[in-house]
Amino acid sequence: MVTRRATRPVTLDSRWRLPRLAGASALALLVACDDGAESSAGRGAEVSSVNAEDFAGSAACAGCHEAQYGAWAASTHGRAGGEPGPESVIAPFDGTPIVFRDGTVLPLVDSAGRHVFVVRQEGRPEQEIRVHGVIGGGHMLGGGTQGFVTRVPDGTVRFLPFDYSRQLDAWFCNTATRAELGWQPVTPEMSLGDCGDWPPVRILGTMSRFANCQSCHGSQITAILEPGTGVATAWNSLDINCESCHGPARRHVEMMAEVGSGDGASSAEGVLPADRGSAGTIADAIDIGLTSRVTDGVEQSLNVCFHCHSLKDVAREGYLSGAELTDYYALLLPALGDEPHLADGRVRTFAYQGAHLSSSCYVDGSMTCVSCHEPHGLGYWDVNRLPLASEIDDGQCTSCHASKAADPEAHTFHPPESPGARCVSCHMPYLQHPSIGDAVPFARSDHSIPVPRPQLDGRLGLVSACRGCHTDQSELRLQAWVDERWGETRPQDPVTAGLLTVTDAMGGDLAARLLLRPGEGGAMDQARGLGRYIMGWVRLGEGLGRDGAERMALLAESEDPDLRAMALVALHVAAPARGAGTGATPDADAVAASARDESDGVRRRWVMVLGFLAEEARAIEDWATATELLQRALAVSPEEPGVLLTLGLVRSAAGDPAGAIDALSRSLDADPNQPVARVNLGIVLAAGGDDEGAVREYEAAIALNPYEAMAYVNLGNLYLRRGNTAQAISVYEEAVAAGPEIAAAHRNLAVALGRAGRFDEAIPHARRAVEFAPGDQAARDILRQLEEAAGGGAQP
Amino acid sequence: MAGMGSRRANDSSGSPALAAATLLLAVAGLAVWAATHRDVPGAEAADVAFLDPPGAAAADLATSAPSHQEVPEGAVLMKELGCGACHTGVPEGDAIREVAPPFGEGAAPLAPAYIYHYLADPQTVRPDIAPARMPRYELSERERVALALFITNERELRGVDDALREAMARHPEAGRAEGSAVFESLNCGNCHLHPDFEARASAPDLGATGLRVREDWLAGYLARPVAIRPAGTLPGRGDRMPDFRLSPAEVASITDYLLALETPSPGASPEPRSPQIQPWEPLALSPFSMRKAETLLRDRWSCLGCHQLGDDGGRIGPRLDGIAARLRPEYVRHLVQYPEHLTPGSIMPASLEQPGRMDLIASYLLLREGEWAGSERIPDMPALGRGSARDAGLAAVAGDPGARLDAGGGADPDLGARLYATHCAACHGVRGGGDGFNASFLPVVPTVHADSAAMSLRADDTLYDGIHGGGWILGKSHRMPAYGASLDDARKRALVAHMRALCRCLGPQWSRDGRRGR
Repeated sequence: MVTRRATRPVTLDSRWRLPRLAGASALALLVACDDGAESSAGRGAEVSSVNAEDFAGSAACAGCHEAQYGAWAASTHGRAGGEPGPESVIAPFDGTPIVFRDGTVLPLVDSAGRHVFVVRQEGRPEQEIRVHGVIGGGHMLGGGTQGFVTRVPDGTVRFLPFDYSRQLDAWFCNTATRAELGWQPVTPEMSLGDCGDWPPVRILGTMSRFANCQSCHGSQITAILEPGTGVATAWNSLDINCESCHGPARRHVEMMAEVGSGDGASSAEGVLPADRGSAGTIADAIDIGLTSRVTDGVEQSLNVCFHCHSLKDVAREGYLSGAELTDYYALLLPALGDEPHLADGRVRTFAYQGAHLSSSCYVDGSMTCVSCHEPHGLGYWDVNRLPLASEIDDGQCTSCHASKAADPEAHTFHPPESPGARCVSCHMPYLQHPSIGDAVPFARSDHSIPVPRPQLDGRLGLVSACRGCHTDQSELRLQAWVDERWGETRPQDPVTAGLLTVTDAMGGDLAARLLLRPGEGGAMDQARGLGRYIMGWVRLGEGLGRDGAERMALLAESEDPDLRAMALVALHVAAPARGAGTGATPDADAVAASARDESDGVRRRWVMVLGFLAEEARAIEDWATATELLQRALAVSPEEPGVLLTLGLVRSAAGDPAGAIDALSRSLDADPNQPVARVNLGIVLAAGGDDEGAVREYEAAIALNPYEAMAYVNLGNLYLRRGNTAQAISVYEEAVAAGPEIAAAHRNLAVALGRAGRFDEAIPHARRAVEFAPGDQAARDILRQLEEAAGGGAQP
Repeated sequence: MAGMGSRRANDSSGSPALAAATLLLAVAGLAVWAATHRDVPGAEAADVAFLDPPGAAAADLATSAPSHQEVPEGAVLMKELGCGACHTGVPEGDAIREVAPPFGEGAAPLAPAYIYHYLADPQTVRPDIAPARMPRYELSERERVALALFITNERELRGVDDALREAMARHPEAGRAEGSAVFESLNCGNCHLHPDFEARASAPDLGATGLRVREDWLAGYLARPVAIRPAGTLPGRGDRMPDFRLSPAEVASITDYLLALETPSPGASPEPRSPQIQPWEPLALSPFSMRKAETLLRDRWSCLGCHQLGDDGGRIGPRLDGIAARLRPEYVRHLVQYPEHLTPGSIMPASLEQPGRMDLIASYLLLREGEWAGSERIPDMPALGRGSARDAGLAAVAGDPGARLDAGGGADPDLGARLYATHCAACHGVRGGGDGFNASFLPVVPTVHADSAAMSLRADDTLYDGIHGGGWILGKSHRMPAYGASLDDARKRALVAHMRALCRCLGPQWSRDGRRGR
């Protein structure tokens, strides 16, 4: 299965690292980045930790847990990916070209038996890209896909833009960051550059340096910057292995090898057959080096699956299965700003199965993923774990909703055994994830498990469950049918109702009454309302109004750390500036002081949310607001390197180089291993005329990461500005080698080559700059000038 | 079936026709009293007649009592003791009714003080009455007061000694009405004829005892019975197995007889899905698996809603500690899956879990360390549950397991109330107040079905689903069991209807309109 992030970045850290151009010259590039995961906010906190070496791999399980291993090996998890080979590859690697407007790509198996893509583009050398990993097996009924990754010199492993759809039997690519047409089958009208991943940019593993969250297309994937070397990428397997759910098992394997477990350890219940328990075996062990998933509570069980099957913001890098998910991820914070879910919790962009958290089965019941999904073979069972025939078996629902099974037709109003009589036909219809468009099938069953509301569905831009079959009927007609058969529909939860009612023109108090409903509905519902309210009605220092303040204070008491942090931030942002508070209305400093009483997780989220809001202000060049929000974040978590980095960027943009240097220097004091922060410090120093200082920082960045392309780009900029074209070209070439996907590197190299009169060499780079950054007018101008110069022999 | 109203009226007014009968039987009763209670303070003040049993019957008992040198075979002995008056699956208990003195209107009166002291330890008071002796019920002082006042059958209270008078002062609420409830709950009417009470099978069926219990446990239990179900055979009744003070030879005789029984009573297990009990041994669970099973038992499954384990759990069913000492392993496993098969009338729901889970739980319970020590009896249970039990008609049904099995779907307008009384009232309260006797042993207050406001927000289907699937699936207490495999659709709907009667409300409008609501 290949997944794609939403059209808008979906993690806070990714929002913080959007490359932004500084100034119109297009020669100085300022990169915003937060890799400040190890912040001071974590001081003294106990954080669950798992190490890569704690894992044993699925093969170690096979000997004792034969049945479970066998079921898993045949499952979509067991066949989710791996080394390229006949077993794993479903796409045609037969040399049939994938034809683009500006090139062809030949997927083939070379003479050595290796899967490769041969990329041929006119005027450029043939490029052979080896496939190092296969992601997905095209298993999913609603749209099965397969993607491929390759290792690149900087040590990262990156996704190639050549994806395959089993349903279409066609190659496609994600155009999200370029042509912005979602997923599109490759046609001769498309250019390679229309594919957002060309050249490859998304990496396996979670690194704040890159806009991605690809830790789930394999097992125990780690991508870590090793100072002086580059990125070390590793994984245990590219399937979803046993330990992805069970946590690290090396200790268990070693313990069992030591004490012996007889000739086969356990059934699904972890019991020993009567003749196998004896002294000196597993029968003596209360600690077997693993915990039982069977005893998981609802949230614990969900978190096992949600570490992949849900949107989430990164609170801390380095998650490995077995660690406490909420120490590393915030599942509700994506509701702020991006609104990946519709008002009623259904997927608006791309959100996996996280909509489960909005389902009544979860909010009003205790449904987990394993209430329906048998976790080893990924077949289906009912809530009592009795096997079911398939994904459409009503037993998934009726083992709880027995009232509907007694007289099914009285509920379904469809003939028995007809497709419309299946529970999932109406309540879990397959919905195409909207952000990828309709060209490539990628529908997933709706895990918000809604009641069909044809008219609302139409209004929200969704194909209603009714219309999925009754394609010739209008939503209005279908709604009339629903009304006639079922009468009044079960009311939406209060927050959803509020979200469907609220408008931007409403006053704060009314919006608060509609959107902030402490104690009502589920946490995800609360988060949607809270996110909408914060984005629409919370203004810096302007207070919240009576209703908003009252309700926000209650939400700030939420047990859920995400909700709690969001509410605390709302109170903090709305609080008057230092010294302007009153007895009833504490000032910002007083609110920040209360952070001392919060958990590390809440404080961390608090800073994340303030950082996000600051980025929103920065995006509209509201430097004062951005600065104040970041200062308030520092009041919560002093010397937080990520916050200081962003503050440096804001100050620089606001024309305060001294303040920027101060902030960036403090960020690096707090965490010296930030190559991108060093680049940004160098940029500010250079802008102030301190070329030596700038070079020092760029070189320090390169020392940290020899593949830090932005350091080379800005070093080249400095040489170019000094008139040292040859040295600039040399450094830009390093930049292009380290970051072939970076448009600015190509553009600036083109400029340098042009200045050297090497137009024929410059033009291809200028073209790539335009190809990779279609909206960059400066690049287009440069290309035009180069082509004119090459044609007329004039200096561009 | 005796009505509630008639008993309540009798409790408060008595009968004017009683006086004559009282006088006729005065002398014999006084003689018995004088012979056995010479030292009872206040005896000299008694100017009322005393009676224990009618003369003829007393003579019969006396002649059959003496030496016990030759113990009858188990079946005969049990018939003499009247075991079948309460239990099914053993020789019927009609004979005991011929020797046990009748009570109520028309019967000879007894002095309250005599009853009060006699009930404390019948065989001490009358050591001559074996083998068909009145067993000892381990009654509380309050229960003895209430029974004494009820059984005495006198409008004018006479025959009260100082001890009883002081006890009455300590338990002013223990009047005749309460005595009636205690009389009913202890099934006194099964042996002692009383016009207001019908004899009924009210104790566990013993027809398959040999398949269920272990020999050494049974012998020990018969020698010294202690409560298995602390709140009564059926929840909240408060009835219990009394102590017959059996001699070792009698114990051996009855044990032999019962262990030979391997056939549950006819009609007890209507489900064709109940197979014969199969050989089974507990799985060898590692300590890890034992801990897992215990976690599931405490945090996920509903067992401890009714059963006590250690200090945790409800008081409806038998305590789970030490069941390996009491029950045969294959029966424990069978019971989890088919609770009604060999325990007719059990309200324990059949598990909906997969067989592997049933193996796990049965093995865990059998392997778990712990001595069987019976349950700590809930004192004064019938008295505590008296008013509400009567109001709900519990008395009319709770002692008759067959009634709920016989009851058809919509044909029986009382079905919902009766099912509620047997299956729900122990926790939810007979009136749906969430205040059943077992509620105090639960970590979460049971749903208050009488709460109109709260219940108006719940659809009938939700109530149905909760009955079917238990509290866990509704995100509520996992200690609410799932009756999906034990109650059919008609019974679940009857229960929902009764809950609606309790709350005097309907489900939300959206759940009732449209075509489905018609």
